Amino acid sequence: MKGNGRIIEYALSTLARRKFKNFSIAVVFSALIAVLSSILFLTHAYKTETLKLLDNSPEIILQNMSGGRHELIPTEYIKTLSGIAGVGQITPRYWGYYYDSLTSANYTLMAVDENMRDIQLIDGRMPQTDTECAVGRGVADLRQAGLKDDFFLITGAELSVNLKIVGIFTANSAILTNDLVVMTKDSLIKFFNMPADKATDITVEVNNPAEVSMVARKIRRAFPNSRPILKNELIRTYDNIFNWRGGIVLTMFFGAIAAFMIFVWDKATGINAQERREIGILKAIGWETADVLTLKFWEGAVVATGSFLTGLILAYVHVFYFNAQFLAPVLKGWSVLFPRFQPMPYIDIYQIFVLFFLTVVPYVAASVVPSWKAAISDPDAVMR
Amino acid sequence: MDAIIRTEGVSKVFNAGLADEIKAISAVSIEISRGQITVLKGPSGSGKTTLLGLIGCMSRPTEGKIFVEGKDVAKLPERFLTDVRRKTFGFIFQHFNLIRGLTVMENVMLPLYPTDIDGGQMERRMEEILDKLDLTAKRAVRVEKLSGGQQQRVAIARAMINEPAVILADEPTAHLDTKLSEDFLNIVTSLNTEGKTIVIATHDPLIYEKPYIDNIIEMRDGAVKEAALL
Amino acid sequence: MSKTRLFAGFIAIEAVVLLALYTGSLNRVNVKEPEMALKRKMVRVMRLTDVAFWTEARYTRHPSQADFFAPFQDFPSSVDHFPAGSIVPPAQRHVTR
Repeated sequence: MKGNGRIIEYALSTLARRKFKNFSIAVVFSALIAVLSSILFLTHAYKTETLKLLDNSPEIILQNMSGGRHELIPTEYIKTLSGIAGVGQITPRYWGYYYDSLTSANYTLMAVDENMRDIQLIDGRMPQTDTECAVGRGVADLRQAGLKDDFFLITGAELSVNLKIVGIFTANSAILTNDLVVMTKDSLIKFFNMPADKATDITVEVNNPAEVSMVARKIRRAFPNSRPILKNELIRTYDNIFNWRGGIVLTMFFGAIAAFMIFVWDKATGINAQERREIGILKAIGWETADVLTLKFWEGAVVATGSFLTGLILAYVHVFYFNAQFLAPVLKGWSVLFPRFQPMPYIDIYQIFVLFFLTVVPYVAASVVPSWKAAISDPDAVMR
Repeated sequence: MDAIIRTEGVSKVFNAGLADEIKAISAVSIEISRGQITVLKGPSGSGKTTLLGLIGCMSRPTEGKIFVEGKDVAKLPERFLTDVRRKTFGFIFQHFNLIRGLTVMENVMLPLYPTDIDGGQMERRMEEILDKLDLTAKRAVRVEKLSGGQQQRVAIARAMINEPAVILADEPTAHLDTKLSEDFLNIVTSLNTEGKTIVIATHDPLIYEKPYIDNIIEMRDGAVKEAALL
Repeated sequence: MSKTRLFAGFIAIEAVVLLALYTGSLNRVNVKEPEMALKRKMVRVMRLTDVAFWTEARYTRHPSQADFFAPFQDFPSSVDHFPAGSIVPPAQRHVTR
């Protein structure tokens, strides 16, 4: 090992001499990286999975608007819709919300049709008669209900239904099904007291994906009160939702980032007298400016790289093995039914590089830059 | 006699143009002969440390020329100056300037770290020097745990590791008692017999009154008062 | 040179662990691909439009389906009642149209 290798060795000795200080920095640095990359990992994993899934959503969902609110849509619209050129399959959807005072949770109730019978991510089966239902894993757990148990839903004094659970959606589909209660169309309509000639909304498939916006325009012209929601709007919405980098990272963890930046800035704006003296000594005994800067580079690089990799490992284990336990309270908000499932480990290498350039590089620069001035000054200062 | 170092009208001004401008030395022309022991004598503030620093390529003069081995170093770029400094000079500082927290071995080898010298060779050289200076037993001890005399020997060892032609010492006995000062002089004379050129800046009569001092350059108020060949 | 070896070893171990985790993740994504296919099929067959992350309000359970006024409940400048609302921004079409 020669020249540069020995400077690395010396850099490590220098760090070891200030064990407590440098160890503390490494711990803080690792923790910051762990927090930031946990958020990035989790967000990216959720986002990727969500977008992959929702890419199979209907091309157009047609809502009826009344008084600025989402209103039930007359099923007679279907006849007019099927007359629009380019329109494929048209299907009314029946769904709604239910607040369960027993468990203080909101459920999403949905009607099934025959096509849904061969869904596979379910223990048991989909409901076939008006007295059957299937529920999401989260609902089953909250209600402590199993297969073949009874399931009550109550609204008001008189209106209630008693269903038998014939299926529970598997936990690994929780991202889609956690709060679902599905039942036949008839029992849903009865429970929600919906008029027979109305649906919640209507999905419209378009034969040629390039014509979607044109079809949407035609629909709006036919039904001025309606609001077509396009799949690409839906995808954009989710893309936007998961871009919390602007939202949660900068607000929730702004404090952590700010503290770290102040710390780096503090390092960058001055080195203490002892460090300056040591640089002078090194110069006086024959080190070149470049050697001193190499030393400082390695001092920074050792701490930053070690911390960065440690932080990444911690984040990965935290997110993908412990389901982001520590982030859950932040993510959960007021959701009583927040799905707990292992995120699919979609990793974006690009994000890791960005994080590297935003943390490791400034840190190393902050180690080198302040030494620059000391390193280029004449070493005879140590003689005085 | 062969002059290893020669200065011609060298001046050094600190903080030039500022209110606290200091003319440390002005128009100094001296010669240091190869293989001799030269003392820069003078009270504190006489400019001898500044001159020592200039000779040792620690900084550049404001005016004048400095020849080291016949080559003018006064205008050399920083890189080359460092190179001359590393290859020609070994420094023993008044405050030793050892790096705390490092062992004796690490401090001694420090000047060689950025060089391309082979690791084994570096360690052999270090062992040899530690042995000569009676520091082998203390090799793994951190320098701040050593006594003043031991620290100075570490500083000497560090100055020798580059196998320099010239050893420069700034007030080497300022923090030592008589016994240790004598020890220091013994080491210096033995280095001199090995052929090293020695330059000592001091105002300690214990040093400059020694009969084996070859040359005394007396300084006062930043100028050479008298150059006497003894 | 022991410290350099020690540090290089430490970095190497971390790099290997990370690489193992990463290849593990690629592998897991592959292994789970059939399950993803089933979920995609579920979205298509059941005509789902949203993921079931936040259930506390209409606009958090179905962000893509909420009407223009839902995120603000009563009027556009009212403070959002739900913590998840600070995480979930208004749907893109509210911003762009």
